Amino acid sequence: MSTPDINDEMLVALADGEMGEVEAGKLRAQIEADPELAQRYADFVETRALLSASFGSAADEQIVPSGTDPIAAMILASANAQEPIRSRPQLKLAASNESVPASGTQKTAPRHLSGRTWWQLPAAAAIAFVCGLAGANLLPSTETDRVIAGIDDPAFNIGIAELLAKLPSGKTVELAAGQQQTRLTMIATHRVENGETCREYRLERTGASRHSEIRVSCRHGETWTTTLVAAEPAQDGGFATASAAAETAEQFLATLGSAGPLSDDDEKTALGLK
Amino acid sequence: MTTPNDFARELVASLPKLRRFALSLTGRSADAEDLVQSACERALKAKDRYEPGTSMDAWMFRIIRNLWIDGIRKRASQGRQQEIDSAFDVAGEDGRQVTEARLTMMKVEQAMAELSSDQQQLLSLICVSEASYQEASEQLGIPIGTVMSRLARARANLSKLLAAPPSGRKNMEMERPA
Repeated sequence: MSTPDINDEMLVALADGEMGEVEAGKLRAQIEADPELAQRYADFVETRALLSASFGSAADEQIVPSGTDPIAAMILASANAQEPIRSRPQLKLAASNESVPASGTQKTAPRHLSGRTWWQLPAAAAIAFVCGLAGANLLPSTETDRVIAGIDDPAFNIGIAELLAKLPSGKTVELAAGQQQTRLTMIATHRVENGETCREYRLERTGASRHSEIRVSCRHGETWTTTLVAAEPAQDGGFATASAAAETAEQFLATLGSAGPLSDDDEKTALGLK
Repeated sequence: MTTPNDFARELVASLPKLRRFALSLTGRSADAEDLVQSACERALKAKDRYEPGTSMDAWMFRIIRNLWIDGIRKRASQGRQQEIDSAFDVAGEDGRQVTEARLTMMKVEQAMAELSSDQQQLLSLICVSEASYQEASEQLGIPIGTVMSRLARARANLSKLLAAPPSGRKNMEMERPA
């Protein structure tokens, strides 16, 4: 989505704190609803921050975070402990009413996760997890991913694999699978510690048998393998806006050693598109 | 060789700048605090990928920025029916998104030096000396409207220079601020 009526002068004024409160509030609301506008705005914030850091603006240097600073304490504790940053509740793998059909291999950690604390994810209520889907390769076409939202169609999975290879984050496409309409929204691309590229995305099946889930699939060679499926329980009037499933996927990726979503440019490099 | 404690100390020293950066992005201190916390957790997990001698600030700005935009994307994709894009319009970038590149491979100082002297002077006043637009207008003898348009152009140019392919700049590692 583009927002042509917002010019760079407005964005730079907001980034520099030179905009009135009411106007700033309106502009921030637009930015928070539009990822492309957010990218434009972030350019102006980032250039200021980099200049300030590089040329030594005085204001920040005099503030030294103390041990009572909660984030500073967390950082220093983690350096001392060399352990997971904060203790997390153990995830119960028991399926809820919203469980997606599982392949029977869900208790086996993916090979590249061996030895990791991949199960140390928040025990968010009413989320069903299917981890370690050994049979869930999205390519080649003979590998039907039977656990995806109950959709049993090889063509559907080939479509997903093609999208994983090419679709930029932030984009949404419709996929047809038999009588079902499914919408795929690419959320982000991550590079994890073992060098693999992983993609986080949402699948939404519309219509009578509505279903939504967040997935993480990682590329091994030319094959994409689903490593996490977190179902998003439907709520009255739609899906939850603050998705615990998305948070779970993020923490899962952090556990794999992701430093956060890649930038658009780095994403293209990771996918071999440039 | 950076020890875990060196890394942690450097990260803690960056916290004020990171908070300020996150606050500029989000506009709300509670959101900024969450963003910084989340980014620091990511950084600690991925600390092996931080190259000693490069800029911790720039590395963390990028992690924070990407997390923030990722959150906006997630909410945008959940909150409404998005326009349906062609599945393969990978090349359909609008040029601005190219402003994502290897900041850590560049010296901000050298990118700054490529701008016109007018733009350098204004950036220095606003972003380094933290002058207000009014003060810059008076000091430079130009209208506030000109301050804004020149600033916007200068920052857009700087973004492009920092995002430019590293051809001919391969050895320009960003140095840690003194």
